[in-house]
Amino acid sequence: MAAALAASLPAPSAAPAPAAPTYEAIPASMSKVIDIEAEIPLTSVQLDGMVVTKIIKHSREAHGWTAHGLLLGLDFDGTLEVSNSFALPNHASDDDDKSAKGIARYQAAMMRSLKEVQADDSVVGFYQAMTLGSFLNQTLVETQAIHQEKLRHGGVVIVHDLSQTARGNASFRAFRLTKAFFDAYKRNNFSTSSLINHRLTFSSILEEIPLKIRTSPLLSSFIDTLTETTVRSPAGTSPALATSSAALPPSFSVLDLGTSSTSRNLERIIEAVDAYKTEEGNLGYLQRQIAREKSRADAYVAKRKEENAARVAQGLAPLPEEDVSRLFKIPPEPSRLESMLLLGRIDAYAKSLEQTSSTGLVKMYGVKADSGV
Amino acid sequence: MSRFFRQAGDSDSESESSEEELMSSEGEGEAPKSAAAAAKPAMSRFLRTAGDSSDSESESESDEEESDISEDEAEKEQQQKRSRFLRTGSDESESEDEDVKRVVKSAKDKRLEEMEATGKVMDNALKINDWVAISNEFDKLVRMAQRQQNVAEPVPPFYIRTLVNLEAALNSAVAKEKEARKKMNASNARALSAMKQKVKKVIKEHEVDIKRFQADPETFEREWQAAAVPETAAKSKKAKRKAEGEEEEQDEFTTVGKGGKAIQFTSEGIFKNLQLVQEARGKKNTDRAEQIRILEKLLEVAATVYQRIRVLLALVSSRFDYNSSVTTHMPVDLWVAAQREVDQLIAIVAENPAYVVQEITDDYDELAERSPETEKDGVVRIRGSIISFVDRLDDEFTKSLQNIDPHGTEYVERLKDEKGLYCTICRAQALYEQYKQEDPLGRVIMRRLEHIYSKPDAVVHALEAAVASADIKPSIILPADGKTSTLIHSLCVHLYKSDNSFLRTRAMLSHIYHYALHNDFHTARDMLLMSHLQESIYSADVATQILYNRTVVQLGLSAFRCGLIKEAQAILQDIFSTQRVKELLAQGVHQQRYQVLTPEQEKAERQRQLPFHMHINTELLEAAFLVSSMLVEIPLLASIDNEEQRRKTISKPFRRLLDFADRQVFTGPPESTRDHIMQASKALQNGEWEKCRDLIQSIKIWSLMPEAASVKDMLAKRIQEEGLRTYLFTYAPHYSTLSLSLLSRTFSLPLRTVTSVVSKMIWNEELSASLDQAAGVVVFQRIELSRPQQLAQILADKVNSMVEQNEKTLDNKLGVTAGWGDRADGAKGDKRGEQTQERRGRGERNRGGVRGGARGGRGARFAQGLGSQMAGTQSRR
Repeated sequence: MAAALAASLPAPSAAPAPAAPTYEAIPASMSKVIDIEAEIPLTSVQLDGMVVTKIIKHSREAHGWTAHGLLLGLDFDGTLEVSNSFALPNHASDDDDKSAKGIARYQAAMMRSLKEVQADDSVVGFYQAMTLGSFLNQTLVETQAIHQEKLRHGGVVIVHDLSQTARGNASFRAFRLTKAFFDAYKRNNFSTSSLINHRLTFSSILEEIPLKIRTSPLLSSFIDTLTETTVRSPAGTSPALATSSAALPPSFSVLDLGTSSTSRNLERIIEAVDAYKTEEGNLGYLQRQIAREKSRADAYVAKRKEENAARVAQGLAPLPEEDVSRLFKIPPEPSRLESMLLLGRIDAYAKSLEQTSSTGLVKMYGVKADSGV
Repeated sequence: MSRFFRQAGDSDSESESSEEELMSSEGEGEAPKSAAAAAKPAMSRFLRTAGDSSDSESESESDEEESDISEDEAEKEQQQKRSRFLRTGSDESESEDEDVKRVVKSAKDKRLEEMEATGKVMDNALKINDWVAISNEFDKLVRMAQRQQNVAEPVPPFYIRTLVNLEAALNSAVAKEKEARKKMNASNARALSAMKQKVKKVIKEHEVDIKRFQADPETFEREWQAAAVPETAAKSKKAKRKAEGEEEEQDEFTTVGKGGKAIQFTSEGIFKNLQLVQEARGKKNTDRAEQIRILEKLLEVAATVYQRIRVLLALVSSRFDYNSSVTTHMPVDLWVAAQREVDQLIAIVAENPAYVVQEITDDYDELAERSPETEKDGVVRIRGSIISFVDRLDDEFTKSLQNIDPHGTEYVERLKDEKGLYCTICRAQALYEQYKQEDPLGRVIMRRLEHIYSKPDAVVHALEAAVASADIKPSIILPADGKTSTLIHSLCVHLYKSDNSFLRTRAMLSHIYHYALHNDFHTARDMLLMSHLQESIYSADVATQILYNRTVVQLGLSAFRCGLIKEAQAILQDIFSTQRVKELLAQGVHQQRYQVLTPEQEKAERQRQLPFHMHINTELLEAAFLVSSMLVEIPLLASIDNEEQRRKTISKPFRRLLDFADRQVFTGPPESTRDHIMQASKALQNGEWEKCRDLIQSIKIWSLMPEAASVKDMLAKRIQEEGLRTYLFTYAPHYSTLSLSLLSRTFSLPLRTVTSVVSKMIWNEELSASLDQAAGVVVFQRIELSRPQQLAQILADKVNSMVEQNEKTLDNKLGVTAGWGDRADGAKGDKRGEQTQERRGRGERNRGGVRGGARGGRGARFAQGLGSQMAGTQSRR
């Protein structure tokens, strides 16, 4: 999928300038606005309200963390303004090559259509839904790496936590790859020494960019009215008001103990730990292999030495010292990327478990105290 | 020529021709020796053709011709001429032969004629100075003369004459050669020098005859004729051969003595004959039976102690030599004779302290008579090794037992010889105690120990009684109270003191085995654990490993007999999980399903097999193992409530059998031991302990167990208890309270036992219940884990194992594989050890700081390893 994406991505050409005037906030320094080619590093991401709702809708309709799509927008004076998004079809695992092609075709058609209606059509990154706070996986890293290479200023990835949203606080986070990881990735070298050199751990794969959500003043005021009507709705009996409040019914999600997801969370951790164990097993196998080769090489060297001593004793020229490392191949170290990602996943799961269970506990104590009185 | 040979052989008999072949091969063996290791191409080719009886004469002739041509081009013409001449010469003789064939002649005359023909060819060759041809012909002649000797006929004077002539010719040729070296070609010169050597040797052999011949040729010839007449007078060939056979038997010593005179039974004669026998030893065509007979006769005439020792040494070793192949065992009568002679030898040496048999001695003259007076220090040292005789005797005994069908009477008969062997070993022990030689003494004691460690008391008593009655006085004997373990103990203690670690190991294992056999489980187990053999046994030799396996198995059986079911199960588990019990105990060769053993491997395997009377009955072993598995596993199975635990089996073989039995649709009445046990297991699972008990007790193989009745009682009691446990595990969920008196009635156990079993289960947290003493009931409490709780537990386990894995990886990385023993290492190791300790100490403290007291719970490893090291690092600073 990543490769297909890369192929379909437009070259980092100049984004159409006319888009700029639609924003009313023009910074004081005009030179910056005009010089769109300038290298201004991204410092923050700004999500449009529409994008937020689109992502939430898509994620909820799709299952689990399979929902993903592309972000469109423009970077502007260090701020990446995401103005639109569209979903990409779910990449089924069966026919990889075919589905990748299908995705590419779909993406190209979508971009063309968007261009035709004069909407933003420059890709600035992609979004990905997740559950229970864990989102690190190979595909995400690969896709983001391609984006970072091809897109202007490097793209961002926005992750959306479904389980948090279900609990009432929509969570969006923006990330991009750190320089160190990107460097290691480009060399495709994730051996232990490389990890040490780049000071890589699972927490230094991605760096987070501050994210804010922007809605137009009109929309903000509408939302304000929405909350107000909600407050008033139990009192009022007007059917018109009741229908409007149906969009935002009174939520009791605060009272949810959040225990339903605990077992799922635990299962996920166990899965991840198991997967990590297999990775560890691979490493252990390698270690044994190396030990075996080493002992063989040692034996070889010792034997050669003995032979040479015997030859010298017989007055013959000693055999040349051969390069032992060439005779005995040390097997290549497996990539540590997967285990690193797994660790990241375990960490994220554990954190979310901690969060939910601690709030759950507090709530339960609260309930107990209440019932006790 | 060779055709003539063949004809002669054909007309004679088959055996004759085969003898001829043998002879020629013997010649091959001797020829290189006599030619002083210089292999002559022409000569060896000739030998080959001569040996190959299918080769025709013309072929060999042309072969020679060819070789000559290739060897020297320049002399080609002359050579050809000569060879042509040769051929015609032999053609003539051939035609003569044909005539000869028609005339009936005795084989003896024929041989004589052959010799003469050869001599003629040699004369011809001598005339033209062709030493290659002479050399070939001479070889032929020597072989013929040898054959003459083999059929016990005196050497014809013709041979002697030829020898004398040849020597003269040789001397003159050598003298000529010195003057005109250039004229002779290389191969000829080589043949000449070879001839010189050969002739010198042969002349030496017939020195006496030659002297007599030189002194008076005519009388010599007449003498010979007189000797030959009676034989030639014999009419039929058959009769003659018979006579020859008789002569052979009578004149055994004549052939050895070479002179054709009666052997003199003096001491010098003995030594000479001994030497001859020893020289013939190991050669291809030596008749071993005959040698033994010679030596036996020599023993009869041996007069002095020294002679007797020498003859006995030679005789015993030639008896052991009798079987050349490794696979077959020694004939029993030979073995018995050898055993008797070893006894005799030991007795002689023990009686005469002035004579010592040693493996390493100074060189001495083999032919001289020696006595304490002639030696410097008054002790006659003789080369030989009694201990190796004893070893060999014992090995041969084992080998014969391996090869005899253990179910026949022959086996029992053979086993009776063990008593004699045991006595011999004890004699040897007494001897070495007298000598104070520690190394052979250790070996002898080991042999003795191996004969008694696995035997029941009665057998040991019988063996010891035989020793006592034979008036042998080894220092260690059965004590008066007749306790075998005291005897074994003192033997083993002697071996523990020896320097040989191999003997120490074996002694230790035998000692443990003996304790286990006598149901002293705890002593045996403690000894085994203290010996730390289980760590090093993998590097031991196969025989010791087998002994180790036997010891462990016997230990398991002893635990079973003592009623220590859990221990028995744990001990026998290891050997049964390999599924190669028979092979591991060396009681049968395992069928390899996927690989085929090479014949050598198979042979080695067969040699390792224990003789049948040493076997541990594998069926009994299996019954013990399965029953103890049943008693351990069935309650465990009942206590299992989820899949995760189900996988943690204790006894895989038992579980497999049980699953198999479960899958069967119809179960008939039990037939085999396994059937019994499987059905008993099912009955136990269902709480029917009485049925289970009956099934187990009806197993027939228990009768092979010593104290079978008490073992059966013990099993019945165990079955009651385990039945109770199983019942509680299985049915506890269905009760809230359960009366203790009901339980005691159901399982017909006393109330005290029931209470103690239940209390134990509660204490071990196997049963979540409490005892209500007042009401006399068990009150069950039930806790059911919710799904998250279960998951959380699993997670805790997994994380725990992950941490452990990490620790292990860290250990590997830091290279502290040797554990905490490396402090005792040398300076370098010490330094490295310190560094790693320091590093680890630091890391530990850092981690400890972060995680706080949470790590305290991760028990034993930390306390053992890192804890002590940390203390060390801290105190250093």
